[in-house]
Amino acid sequence: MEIDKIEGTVCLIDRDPTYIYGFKKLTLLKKLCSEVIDFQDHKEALNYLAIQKALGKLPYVILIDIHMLEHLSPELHETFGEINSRLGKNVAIYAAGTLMTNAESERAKKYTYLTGCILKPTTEHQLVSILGSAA
Amino acid sequence: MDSLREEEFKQEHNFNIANLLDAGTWEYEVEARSVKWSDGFYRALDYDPAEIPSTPEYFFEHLLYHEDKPTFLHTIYQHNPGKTSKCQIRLLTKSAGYRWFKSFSQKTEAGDHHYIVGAIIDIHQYKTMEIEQIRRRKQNDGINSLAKTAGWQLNPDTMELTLSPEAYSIFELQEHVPITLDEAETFLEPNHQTFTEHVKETIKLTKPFDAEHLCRTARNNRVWLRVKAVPFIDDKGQCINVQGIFQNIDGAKSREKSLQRTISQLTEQNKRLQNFAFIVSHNLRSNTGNLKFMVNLFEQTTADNDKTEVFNHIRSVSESLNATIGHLNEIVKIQADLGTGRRIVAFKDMYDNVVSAVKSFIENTNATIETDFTAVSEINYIPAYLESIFQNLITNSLKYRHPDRAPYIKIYTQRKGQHIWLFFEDNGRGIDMKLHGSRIFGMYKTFHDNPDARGMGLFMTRQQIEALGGSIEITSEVNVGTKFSIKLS
Repeated sequence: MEIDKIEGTVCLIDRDPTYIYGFKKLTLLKKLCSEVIDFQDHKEALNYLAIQKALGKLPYVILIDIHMLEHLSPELHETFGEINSRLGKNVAIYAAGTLMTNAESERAKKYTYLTGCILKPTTEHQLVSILGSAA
Repeated sequence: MDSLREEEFKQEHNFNIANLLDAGTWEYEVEARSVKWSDGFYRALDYDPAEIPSTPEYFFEHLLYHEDKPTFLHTIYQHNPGKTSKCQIRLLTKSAGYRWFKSFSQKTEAGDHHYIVGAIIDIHQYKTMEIEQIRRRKQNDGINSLAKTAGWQLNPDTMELTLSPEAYSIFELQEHVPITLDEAETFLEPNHQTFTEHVKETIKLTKPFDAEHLCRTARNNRVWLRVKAVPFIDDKGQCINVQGIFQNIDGAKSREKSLQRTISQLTEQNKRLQNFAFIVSHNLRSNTGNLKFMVNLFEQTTADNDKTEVFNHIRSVSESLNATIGHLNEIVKIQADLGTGRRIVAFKDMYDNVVSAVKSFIENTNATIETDFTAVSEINYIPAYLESIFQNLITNSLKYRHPDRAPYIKIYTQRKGQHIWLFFEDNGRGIDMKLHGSRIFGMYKTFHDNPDARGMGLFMTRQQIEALGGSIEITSEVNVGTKFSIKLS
């Protein structure tokens, strides 16, 4: 059942501790996923994703703060691109923002590996649709 | 006949010839104070000989225009024997009022008798035309000087340039000496297309031109000129003449420039406001969103442990919200501060103040700070802002010091033209300008994952500097250091 656990892993890349706490609490409470791994630093996230990729055990959903996304190093963009293109299995990558203005959504479009954009803090309803559809 | 009689006869004879020619002639015998007028003289004035008495008194009192009296007397009494004196006078005619005449006179002698003989010719038509011409030229000059316009002409064959008097005054040339095209060119500041090129093109393609040139006058003043020209062509289509104007548009140009400056200032301000509005909504939204998130969670959790945990988060969000509002207040305060006035502040005093406030930070980090305020020692500034600049930039250098070496900061002033500059240089970690360059002065921007960073310092510093009309720039290299260049005023 080891595989299932990985299937249920969500990776959160964000710097807002309240949001991370709330996200974990809510998903656990509603049993939306089995594990949430969070990173406040994109370098650590990169390391983790590189290792998981090598192991073939990637999280099935990745949520990244839109502002952090816009300041990612080119390597991490590349890693994200590879995750989505090479693997047969679909890893959903979402950009999350507090406002998601038109300008932000427009800018996000250039990251072709993104599955979509969502608003923070994520509502329960939204979480069900994201985590449910990806599972 | 004796010689006297012979002379008298000759005089009489001449006079008769004059009468015959219908010329307006006269003869004055000095000793007798008597005057004789020819028939032509009467006719020129439209009188019958019987109508007016032919006396010198009547001539001076009634016929000659009073203003012309001195001129006339001066001419007839001028002693240059054998030569004719001329002047222009106005005489009263019977029905047409005063008319212009040209007067010729000459002194003669016959024995003991002295005579002055003279003639008048009606020049009224020419004179009035001349006067009208002068009036028109004056009017044109007036209009041209009002429009600050001068004319010029160029002969394409000889390339000879003719300038109107106003052109000389535009170029502030004293004498109206002829100048060549090349010389005219030297008055114009280098431009992408020179005056000569424009003129040559006009001649070659027979096409008018209209250009704006910055010109430097003979007295070394810079003036904006509008130069316009039209070619005149003959029936073969060849350009035979180029006529144009120089127009002084300096006033309009400087207004245009100041308008452009204002627009770019407004654009900049508008951009800042937009950015500010974005930050405000972002932060408020992020905090209120989290608050709602936590309250929802609080309602859904049942275990006491969980409730306490969630409540702690609610408390921290509430604190963060409060801090955000505090930051907004700081920004809004800048506008209010502008009214509180500047005063003369010594850089050294300000530096000492700030250093004593952050003394422990400096000691803990083992930092060395060197200052040199000799170039400019004081400035008229809002003291609180200068303090904030010193405080933010010094603590910034200490916070982002290089892990492998003790911080070294150099602070100095410089005067460049009319502006006072303040520089901060450090040997810290530096910032990757390519990655973060455009966002360094943004609100809540931190770049080093430093827990001390709250992302307000540089933002506030920039807002304050710009509010006082200055600017701040940064140059930085990773692992080498950072330099802030601040134009204070």
